[in-house]
Order: sequence, then structure tokens, then C-alpha cells
Amino acid sequence: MSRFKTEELVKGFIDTIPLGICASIYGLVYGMMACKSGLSIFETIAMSAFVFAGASQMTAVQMIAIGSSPVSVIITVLIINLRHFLMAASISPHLKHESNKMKMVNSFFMTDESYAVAYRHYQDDRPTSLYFLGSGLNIYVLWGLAGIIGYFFGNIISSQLNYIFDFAFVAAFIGMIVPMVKDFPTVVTVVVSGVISIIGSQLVSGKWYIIIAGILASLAGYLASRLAVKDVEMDVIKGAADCEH
Amino acid sequence: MSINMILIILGAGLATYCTRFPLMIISGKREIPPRLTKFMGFIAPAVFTALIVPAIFIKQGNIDISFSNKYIFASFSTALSAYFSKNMLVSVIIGICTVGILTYIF
Repeated sequence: MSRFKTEELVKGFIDTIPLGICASIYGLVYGMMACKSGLSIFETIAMSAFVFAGASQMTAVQMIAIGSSPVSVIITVLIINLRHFLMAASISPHLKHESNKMKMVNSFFMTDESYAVAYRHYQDDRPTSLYFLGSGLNIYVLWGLAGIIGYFFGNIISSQLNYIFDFAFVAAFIGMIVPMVKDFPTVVTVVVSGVISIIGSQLVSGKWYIIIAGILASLAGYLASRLAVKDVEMDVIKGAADCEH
Repeated sequence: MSINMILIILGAGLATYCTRFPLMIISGKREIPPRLTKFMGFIAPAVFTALIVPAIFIKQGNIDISFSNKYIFASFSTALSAYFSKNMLVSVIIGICTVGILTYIF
């Protein structure tokens, strides 16, 4: 990196505005949930600044609200974020020429949104880490600001209405789950997780049932997907056998 | 800020960063096994469901499946609006309004 190419940084920032606006909608909900969970405005901002992961922050805030231990919150955030391994693995070949230092910086700012924008950009244009950084900074700024606005919105809601507004967090997660349920294995995952979490919440002390249900239900979904694959393979074999007759 | 909050914020931040940087540095030398990729795809819906289902059905420590539990009906209306609008904010607003209407009418 002989000279600092600011235009790449700016281009990345500008190209990410549409997705940044989508992210800020989640940010508003996060801020409101953080307020209703009893976080201070400073804690709400600190979480956006240090964790910087949408679904994880909402999960953490909810787990704090129901009184989970810090260790169970951290482990849950870790397993939710495992998908980042996949994103990093898919984008890093494009950034092979960049310095490790720059890659470490890029890693911090990598979100679903900036990954999507940069990955698409790299298909046609010369990949630079500055473009990726510009994209990440866009999400960082918009996400942080939206959280603050959401927090103040949550603050003006009267506490008498808490029963109603506590539902915002359930609704927010339903809003995230529904688009994910596209096939049979995911249906299995959701049903198994629902059943285990209910039973677990009655039997297991603390909030560990979230992690237990999360892992067991992912396994169930995975096994269901293996069965589905086998069914297809069986059909193909049957089909081939039919053709021979 | 309590010690627990500092622990959670720094710990969650570190946990998140540890999922982001390793494969960024070791670029493309090793493929992730497709089975593991498949498994990871189920984690988010599994954890999210485990978070909300008890919040919907368990009131004061007991399972509550009755009409007085307004979250059950509201969850259905939220899921429907999420399915049709594909917009999280719309789903949240419809969900909150459903609970609000049920609370004040019934």
C-alpha cells in the first residue's frame, strides 16, 4: 500500500448506504430493547462499539434482561457468530495481497452487510481492503446512531406499557426467524428448539437451556437435512433403475 | 457500569472478533467442510427460537397456554406479517399493536 487511496474508502462507504439504512432499522429495535432491558445509554453505545454484531447484541440484551450469567451470554454470542468463519473464508482470497494489519482491521468491521457489498464489488473491480473498510465504517456509524435513537425512543415509552413493549423483542426475533424458515430441516430446527427450550427452562438452572437447545436443535436440523439428501439420492437411484427397464 | 456488564461487553466483543479474524488471516488455504457449513446454517434459527419460545409461553415461571397469554396470539400475527411484509420493523409494530389491542379490549 504505497499511497492511501481515499476514493476507495469513500466508494465503499457510499455503496453501502442502502444496506446501512436496512441495518439501522435493526439498530432502532436494538436500542429500544437495550433501554427496556435496563442498560444505560453508555452501555448501549459501548456494546455497539465493541461487539458490533446485530443479532448478537439483541440476543445479549435479552439474555441480560432475563438475568443470564455473563459466561452464558458470551458463549451464546460466540455460537451465533460462528457463521463469520464462513464469511471470512469466502472473502479473504480476494484480500491476499493486503497486509495482515489491514486484514485484522477489516475483520473487526466485517458484518453481513459489508461482506455482501464488498463481495459483490470484488467480482467486477480490483479488490481493496479500503473499500471493505469504507463499507464496514458505514454500517458501524449507522448502526451506532440508530441504537442511540432507539434507546431514546424506548426511554419515552411509559413503564406502564412494559408488558406491551416487552413483546418488541419477541417480535424482532420472529422477524428474523421467519425469513430463515425456507425448507423442512429448518422447520425441524425451529420446532425442536422450541420444545427443548421450554422443557429446559423448567429443568435446567440458569439460562443454559438457550445454549443446550441451540446446539441440539442445530444438530436436529442438520440430521434432517442429511435424511432429505438421502431421500433425493434414493429417488435418483430409483429413477435410474426405472430408466433401465 | 457493573462488573457483569463490562464482562459481557468485552467478552462478547472478543468472542465476536475471534470468529471474524482467523480465516481472514489464513486466506483460502483450507476449505471449510461442507457438512460444517450446513450445520452452522441452523445455529441462528435454533438459538433465536430458544430465546423467544420460553418468553412467549412461560409466565411467572409456569407454562401458560391460555387466552390470557396475549403473546401467543400476537406471535402468530407477527409471524404472518413477517412472512408477508418481509420487513422487521413492520413485524415489530404489528406485534406490539396486537398485544396493545388485546390488552385494552379484552
